[in-house]
This record gives sequence, C-alpha cells and structure tokens, in this order.
Amino acid sequence: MTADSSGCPYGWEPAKLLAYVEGALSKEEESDVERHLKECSWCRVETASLSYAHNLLLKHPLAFHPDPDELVRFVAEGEDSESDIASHVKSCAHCSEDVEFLREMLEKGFDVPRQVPSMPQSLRERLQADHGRVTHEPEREDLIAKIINLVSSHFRIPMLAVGTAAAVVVMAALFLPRYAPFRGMPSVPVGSFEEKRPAAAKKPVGGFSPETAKPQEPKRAFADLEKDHDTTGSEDRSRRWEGIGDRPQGLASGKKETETFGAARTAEEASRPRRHFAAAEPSPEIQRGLRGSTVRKKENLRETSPRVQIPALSPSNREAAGEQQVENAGGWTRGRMHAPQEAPAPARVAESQVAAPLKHEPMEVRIIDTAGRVIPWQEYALDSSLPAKPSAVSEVESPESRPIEPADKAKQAFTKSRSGAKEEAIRPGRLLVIRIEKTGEQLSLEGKLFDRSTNSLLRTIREDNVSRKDLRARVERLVQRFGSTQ
Amino acid sequence: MERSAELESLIDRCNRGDTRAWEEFYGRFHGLITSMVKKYGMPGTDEVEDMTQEVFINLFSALKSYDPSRSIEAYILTIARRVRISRLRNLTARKRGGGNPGNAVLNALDGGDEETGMSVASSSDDQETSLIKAQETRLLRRALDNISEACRHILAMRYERGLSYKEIAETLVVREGTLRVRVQRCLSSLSAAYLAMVSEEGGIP
Repeated sequence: MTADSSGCPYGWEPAKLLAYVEGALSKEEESDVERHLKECSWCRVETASLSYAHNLLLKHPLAFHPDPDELVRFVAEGEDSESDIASHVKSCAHCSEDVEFLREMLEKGFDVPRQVPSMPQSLRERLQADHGRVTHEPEREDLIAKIINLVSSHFRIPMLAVGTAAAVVVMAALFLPRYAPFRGMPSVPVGSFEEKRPAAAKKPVGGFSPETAKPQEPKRAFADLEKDHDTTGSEDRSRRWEGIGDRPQGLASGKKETETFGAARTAEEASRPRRHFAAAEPSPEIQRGLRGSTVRKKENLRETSPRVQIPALSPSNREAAGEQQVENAGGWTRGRMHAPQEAPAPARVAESQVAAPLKHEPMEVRIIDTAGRVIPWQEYALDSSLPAKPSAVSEVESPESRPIEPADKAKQAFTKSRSGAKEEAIRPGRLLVIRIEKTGEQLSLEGKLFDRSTNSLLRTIREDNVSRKDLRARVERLVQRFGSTQ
Repeated sequence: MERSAELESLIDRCNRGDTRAWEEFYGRFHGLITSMVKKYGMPGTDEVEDMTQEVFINLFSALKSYDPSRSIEAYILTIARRVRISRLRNLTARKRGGGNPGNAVLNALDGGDEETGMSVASSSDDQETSLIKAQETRLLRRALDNISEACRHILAMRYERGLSYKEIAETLVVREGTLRVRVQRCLSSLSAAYLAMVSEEGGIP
C-alpha cells in the first residue's frame, strides 16, 4: 500500500498530503488535492498509506509503550526474551516510572493501605448514571455464588465432567422405563398403525373448533368414536379419512366437518366407564401422538391399505354427502372454503350446512382472531364509541354467554382439564365462533356453528373481501343468518 | 488461586451493578490507583484525587471488558495510563490556549473522545471489537519497534502527547516544514512496517 520512493511525478510535496490527511488544509486547498488525487496514482497510494498510519496512531496511543501485562511480568518474573522492554524502559520516562511503581507494589504484594473508607458521593452518582439501576445484591447471592463455584469447580476437570454426564445417562436409561407407566407412557411396544386408527380419528386437522379451546379427555373421545361407529351415515367426510385403513369410527352421520372433526359425546357416554386399554391397543398417549401425524401420512397409507375402497365423489353425491360448497357468481362449485380467485369483492364465498333440521336453541357468539384469541370489538370497529359487542350478538346470545376474557379462557381450560370437560357435556345450546382474519387491507369472516351437546359442527359460512367499514354490519348479518337458520 | 476466584466474583458483581461490590472494589484499589497517579507526577492533591476519580469513572465501564486471565493491576495501569494521556493532552491544549490548530481529530482527542482516541475497550465494545483493538495495538507496537528511534520519538510527541508541529519543532529545534516532511516519512515507514506485520500473521489490514 505504500508508494515507491520516486515521489510524485507532478512534483507535489508529500507533506501537503499529510496536511490533507490531518484535515489541516483550507477548503480550496482540499479541492486542489482531491483533483490531483484523481489523476496521480502515486499520491493516491501515499495518501492512503499516511491516512492508515495516522488513524492507527490516533486510535492506539498506548502502542508507544509495552503492554502493562508485559511490564508486570517483566517486573515480577524478569520476562523479557528480546530485551525490548528493558531497552524501552531505559528510554521512556513514563514506563520507567511504571516499572518503579510496580516493583514497589509487588514488594508490598499490592497491599496498599486503604485510606478512603467509602466511595465519594460524586463518584457514587456517576456510577449510578453509568450503570442505570444500581442495586445491592442480597448476601444470600454470595452464598449461592459460592455454592455454584464449589459445584462447578468439579466440572472443570474434564474426566469428572464426562463421568458425571455418563452416570446421568445411565441413570436415565435405568429409571425412565420404570417411571414411564406412571406417566401414561406406553409400556408395551407400539403396534401397527391399523391398531391405532380409532384414536387417530379424533385429530382436528386444522382450523378451529370447540375442541381447540376445550380439550377433551382422550379416553372419553375414544368412547365417542365407538358410539359413533354404531350409527350409520353418509360418506360425507370420506375425504378426510381416505387412506387410513377403515373409515374411522365416529365420523359417520349427520355431522358436517370442514377443517375440524367434532367429537360426538353424549351424556350417556359420559357416564360410561372408561375403557382400559389392553396391551394390543394403543394408549391414549399413542393415540394423541397419532393424532399429531399429518394428513399426508394418512394419505400415504391410503394408497397402501387394502382395507379402504372409497370411491371418488361425483358432483351429485358430493352435495348429497354434505360436501362443502362454494357459492360463486356463476353458481355452485366444489371447494373447501377457498375464495375463488375471480370472486368479486365483497362476496360471500362459502357456506356449508348439514341437511338435518336445526332446532332453535340459545346461541353463544365468540369473535376470535386467527390464533383463537377473543377480539375486542373496538379493534375492528372504525368508531371507538361503538359498544364492546355488536348489538346483533347481544340479541342472539344465550343468557350464560359472555365474551371470554383471556384469564377466563385459561381458567376454563384448567377447569376442563381437571373435570374431563363435564361442564361442556351438560351445557346446552349452540356455539357460533366467528373468526376474523386480516388478509391485506381486507378482512375475512368465517363463522362456524357448533352443537354443544354433540360437539359437532353444524354449519360454516365464510365471507372474504370485507372492508373494515362494513365489518360491523357484516358480523351482525352473519350472526343473524346463523340465528335465523337455527 | 483463591484471590483470583474472589476477585473474579467481585468484578462479576461490579459488572452486574452491585453498589456494595463497587464500594469494595473502590476500597481495595483506591490506594493502588492513588499511588499510580502520584507516580505520574500530577501536581497538587486535588489533581491527584481528581485523576483517581477519573480512573474509577473509566473503570465503571471498562471493567466489563476486563479479561480475567490478565492481571487486574496491569489492567488498572492501562486505564490509568489512558487517563494520564488524556490529561496530558488537555494540559497541552490549555497551554496552547485552545485546540490543536488545523487538526480536528487531535482536538477531539483533547476533549477526551474515548471512542476514537483510546485503544482500551470501552463499555460499548463487544468482545469481538475488543479483540480486534487488542490485536491492532499488538501489531502496532511491533511495527513501532521496527521503525527508527527518532521516528518513534517524533510520532510519540505528535500522537501520544498531542503536541502541535510548532511545539515539536521548538523542542527538537528544527524548522516546522522540515518536521512535517519527517513526520510524513515516519508515517509512511510505520504504515509499511504495520502492513508487513499483518501479512506476516496472515491477516487482512
């Protein structure tokens, strides 16, 4: 990077370049230099070289002296292999002072008498300013620190650390299998997939459902499936269960599902004694695990399983089976609640309903976001003076229904987990869950009506391309539509 | 060994903002720092006390960058040197009756600009920055060892003590123009030596 010694071919003084680097030139002189630098490569290299060294020295003024650590070693142990420090100390008054001082201190073992018992107030204030919130740590922390130091000191020896880690692994291997049954883990080898199918049928595939907010007890859910198996019904949910062996028991008749499977459960079943699973049957935990398997897994199995022969649905029997329909400008086409790309906005894009007649029952309305959180109404309303709930919701709400606060939700979930969702089993009426999603500037509404007594999905209506200013009216209308069809 | 563990714990508590630990640190190292400052020949008791406090103020932030494998006394000595240099520069500037004529960067240093002026890690430095600074200082030391004694002396007056060209010229009894040319040549030599050190270590400047 340094320029050769030939000098500037234009005869410029290198000292002027230094003045330029130091910022000591006037604006006009600076412009002259910059013009020259554009045409003279020698000066460009020289300027870069000067600038580099200049900045290094500004940044590291202590570089003119040996490192204090080296000085300490030089004083304490006489360490100075190339006699650099000794020769520097001879020529440098500052380092000579430092060496003298360090010698003095080392003789005293750096034990300097404490003349100032406490920190001056000014320094304390500065400390507070530098460190922000300054606290006195309780003394017990010292004790904890000592204990941690004591324990961790053993782990500084690699062999001890490795030995301890190995012991922990061996202990875990020995005791975990014994402990597992008490935690409900399978104590027998996991059987074939066919053996686990009934449990897999309870998996909510996606979207939202009462189960997402109200988890059911797995064993009870299994019993529900058995009961449903006794009933006969259409093949309306065949698409969900294609390829996972026999049609899952429990998804037979009368109940419409879109993204979620509602678990049928009656009071009669609730009173049924819990089933004890034999070794050949998967435990609830395994079932739960299977429920976590993806739909893709199921579809892979569809191709391999000889037990499933579900014909493809024709347009006519799709409708008969309650397949979800998409209402488009041009008429009805098959779909799964996706808005057609050319759909005019705003448009009601999807609606599904089972053929079974619905009776009038109290309906609770929940408005939630994609994550299942209850949405304060004002968040989506343009006018903040609007009531917390839309009037239409209030009108159709059942007396016991009210907006669920997050704390209440947590409390409910806790209660349900303890009581096995008995509360839900005896709670009558319908639950309407309206999910509001933001899709860019527009919003989407998806309403799902559930029957609380059977935990089944009754009807789904989806509306896309809803503007914020229309939201209130749209939600009200949606609630009214669900209310009127009960 | 015991002393080291205890000191580590004390420094750790200081860095977590424990005032009691800082009180302990102050009591423990006040005598040492005062002795250092006195050795630097700062005149007057007030001046010594002021400089001692300044060293502590620097330590409040710089202690976070302290490497426990180093001697704490050496580290404190580094900070004390830094404070001394800063004071010397300020003193020189005051004698001069203002800033360093025509040199904005040195003027910033006279004002105690830590970020640009000091190689010791400041509180804002992360570990990587501190390591880079330490590496640069080490290479620069070696490069300075490889240039002539006269050059080292001139550059030290200019860059360590922050003297103006006029002051250096008066000290060395040379013309200012001659001095500027010498400084330029010394900087060129230093730059070449530094780059040689960097390439020796396989680094990138």
